[in-house]
Amino acid sequence: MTCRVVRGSGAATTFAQALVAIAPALRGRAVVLTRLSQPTPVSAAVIEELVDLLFEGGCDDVLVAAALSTGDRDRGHRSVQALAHTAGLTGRSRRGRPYEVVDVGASTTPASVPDTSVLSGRSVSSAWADADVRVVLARSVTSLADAYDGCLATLLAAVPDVVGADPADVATDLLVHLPPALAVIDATVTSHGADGRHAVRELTTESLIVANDTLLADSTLATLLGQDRAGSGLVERALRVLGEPLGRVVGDLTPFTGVVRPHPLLVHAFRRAGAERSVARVLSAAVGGPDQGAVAGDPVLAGIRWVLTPLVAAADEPGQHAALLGLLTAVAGVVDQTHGWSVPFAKDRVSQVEVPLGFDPGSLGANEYDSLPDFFAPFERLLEQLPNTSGTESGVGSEAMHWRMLDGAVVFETSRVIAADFGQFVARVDVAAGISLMADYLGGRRVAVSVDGQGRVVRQAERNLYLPQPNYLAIWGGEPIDVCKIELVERADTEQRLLWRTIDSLNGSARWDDGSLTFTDLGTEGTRVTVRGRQLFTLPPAWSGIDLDLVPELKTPLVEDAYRRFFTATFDNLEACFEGRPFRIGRPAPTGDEPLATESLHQLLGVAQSWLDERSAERTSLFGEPKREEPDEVDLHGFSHFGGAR
Amino acid sequence: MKIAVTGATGLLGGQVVRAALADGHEVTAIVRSTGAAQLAGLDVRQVRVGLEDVTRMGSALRGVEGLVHCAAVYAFGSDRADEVTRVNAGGTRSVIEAAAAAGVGRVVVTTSSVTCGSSESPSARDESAHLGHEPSPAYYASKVAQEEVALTTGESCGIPVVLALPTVVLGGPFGRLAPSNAIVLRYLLDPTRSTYPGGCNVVDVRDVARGHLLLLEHGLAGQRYLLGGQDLTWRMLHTLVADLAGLPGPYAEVPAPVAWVASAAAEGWAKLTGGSPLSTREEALTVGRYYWYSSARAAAFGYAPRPARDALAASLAWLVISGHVPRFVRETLRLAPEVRAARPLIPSPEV
Repeated sequence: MTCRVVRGSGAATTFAQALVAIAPALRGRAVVLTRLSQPTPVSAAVIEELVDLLFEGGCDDVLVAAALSTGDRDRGHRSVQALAHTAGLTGRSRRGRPYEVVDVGASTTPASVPDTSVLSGRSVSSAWADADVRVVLARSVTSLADAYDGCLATLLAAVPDVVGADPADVATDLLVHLPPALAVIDATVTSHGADGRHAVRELTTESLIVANDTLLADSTLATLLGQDRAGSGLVERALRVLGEPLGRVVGDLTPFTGVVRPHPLLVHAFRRAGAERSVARVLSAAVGGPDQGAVAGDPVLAGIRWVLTPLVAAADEPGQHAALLGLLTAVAGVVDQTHGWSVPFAKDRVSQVEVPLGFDPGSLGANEYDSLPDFFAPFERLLEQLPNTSGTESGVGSEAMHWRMLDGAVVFETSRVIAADFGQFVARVDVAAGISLMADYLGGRRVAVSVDGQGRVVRQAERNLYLPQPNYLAIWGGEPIDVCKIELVERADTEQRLLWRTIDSLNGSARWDDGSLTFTDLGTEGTRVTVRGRQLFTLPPAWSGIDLDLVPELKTPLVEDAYRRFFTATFDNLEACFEGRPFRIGRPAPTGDEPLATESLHQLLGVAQSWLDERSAERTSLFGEPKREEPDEVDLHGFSHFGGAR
Repeated sequence: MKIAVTGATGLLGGQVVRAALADGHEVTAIVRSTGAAQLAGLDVRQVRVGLEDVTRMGSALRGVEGLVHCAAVYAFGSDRADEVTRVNAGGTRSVIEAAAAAGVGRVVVTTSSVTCGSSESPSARDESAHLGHEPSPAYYASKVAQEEVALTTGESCGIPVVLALPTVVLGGPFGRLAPSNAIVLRYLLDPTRSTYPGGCNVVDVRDVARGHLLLLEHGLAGQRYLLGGQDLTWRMLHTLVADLAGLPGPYAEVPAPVAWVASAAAEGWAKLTGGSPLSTREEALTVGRYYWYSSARAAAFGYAPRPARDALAASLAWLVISGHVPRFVRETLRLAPEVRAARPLIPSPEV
């Protein structure tokens, strides 16, 4: 793997040499996935030079592909072809070769990826998936949302919006499963500043980055921009999953002179505000512009743009920086608090999530799964000694709870007797899917590792995300609980059990989250559902200074209440699943198809204005000149005629 | 017996259908729209016909021996006063006329215990009592009118009409939350855990349904029969709800004026949000009075309602799965085992 940095006024001429040095295998059809988004598309000259080089290197056909993203639509753009035209693409290269510009999302195909991928079950661009040579061509820009944008940001266009997924997961899985053979970054002119992506501030940097490793290309761009490469969430995630790129960088890595970078505080505030997608869309659409070739936006958006754009454009000045930071922090605060209150009080408004598995289940031997009963046996023995602290042990509908603290973790057992025949129950409630049936489940991924003779899962790997526990921690910035687990399923005539052990928590939200879910046949009394576990979750920073272990009088009721609430809802979910009633919390994450929030607000204001006008007219007719009713003239055909404006 | 039930997708009508089927009767369900979940899986003929469509109602009732007329609008609030009167009185006239024309043998009409009025002191009333001059919602007046219409129409058409007067009917399943189950819901949602002076009589819907079939068989034409359960003060009722739901309270006893103000606020909020108010100023007018009744007359036929605790347990059991109890409230409840046992789980069709 190699990355070459070509710098200086002759960058375009040495492009060919760099490409030859990288030496990708060029044949058949090449697809150049590029950024045509206004106001900072890749230079048409660089695109067409690359087209020529691909032809000359051995490709029979070259497509230039781009997407009309939600961001493009929000800024008033309506087609990839129009974006291409505005960017200066002509369909014929500088050396006279014809090429086609295509909408990369126009045709899709099911993604051929393993079940562990966030793209599993999703579609990807047919053009990208079927290309003989995949090339990603990005532009050097800074970004308020992600510090800087490079090839990974451009690569996202290869898949339609994966609703509910973190773009960083999507980009990483694209790198793994549908990687570009060649990554090029156009840094001939860098758009810099707080948000160079949207507010154009050009700096001639006369450079090109050419690599056969996309991650290496983006890392190199970060170096040239004088930024920490992990400032980009996309790059940071890819590095975490894929590790350090192994290739070497050839060329001058001296950072560009005069580049103004987005301040980390601004990026942080923007990301917090952008956690609510509708807000992120408005903020992105309201910086810079109106773009060349764009349809005019609504007046509310224009108003926000009027405020925001000058602040972003001059954010390197202390006063403007403070004002922009204050504004973004205020918006972020509203977003944080709205989300924080939704978690305990409006769970149906929380967005569901899509994630990759987060680890390779094949990297663990069968013995790791099969040893789960032994791993959990000491906790079960401990639980057998503990008294019931809540409810009753027997009878239909009875619930019981046993728990104690152990090494800082809560070790617990809770159960409910459900008035359902065991056979009927296990036929409808799959014990292997038990974790996804629990309360506050936001989403996750479950991958079978091995099955029995009847095709039933025996060993499986799972990643699940839950609302912060207890829920009220969300108000203090508590993160969702995000845990990767290995699991074993045991099935007998009178009992079924799922055991799990946490092997990782990607956001550090849990130290331990191990346990079991058991369905036991109680004969005519029904089915007992028992959950046992050992859990230790991480408190949000706002709570880190409070050591509740020092105040057991407070901690004990808080813990018991939290567990009782969670498992009341969990057992209710299992009953609902048995009866076929809906039970999941949350709603699918918003797609990019909804109108921009400012458009909705504009319509609302229009309705309010009409209402006020009507009231005003009524008041005038009540207290002012009496309204004169003009008699309608009815013609021979029965149509009424009335006076027009003239 | 061939029995027809109007309002068969309602809380009471649905249970009358079930009880009739359990007794081996052949049942025709008269409904406003077919395919309702309440009748799913039941072996009944469903006929879609409006109450005031005498011709089509007559066709639907041809061959029927007994009719139970449960269809009514059970709602409080001035917004729906006209609808309440039109459906409850006018609809009853049409249905009885159609039944007579179709040759139906006898009709049981569901009215309400409120037609027997209420008391200022904790004493039970019987069928000899009538609604007096106490403040009462339009719904009450509509039920009085319904009784008059039912008896006079029955007499003029020559068809025996028996009046069933249920008290506060609790339980499920229900598609729409009726004011009776809303009494229980209000306590679950009330963060102040308040109660009121006065009281009411609560009864399980299954017992009322059974009572209707008893009246269809044994009731005397032109007679009113109270179908109640247990008399409770509001404090006793709320204490039972608190006990069954694992909630604290009840604490303060809210006087009628405060209840009226709270109801006005609830109506205002409902108007703002486009929802249905959980209580209305009309209902608040009844606070402080005793709606206590004796069902001795029906008991002579074997009517034996279960205790109020069981009725409230059933109401809670249906409420907590109804969507009317927000998740954050549901999670705070510690339902007694008898609540979970009160509603049989119905397995989904196996995939």
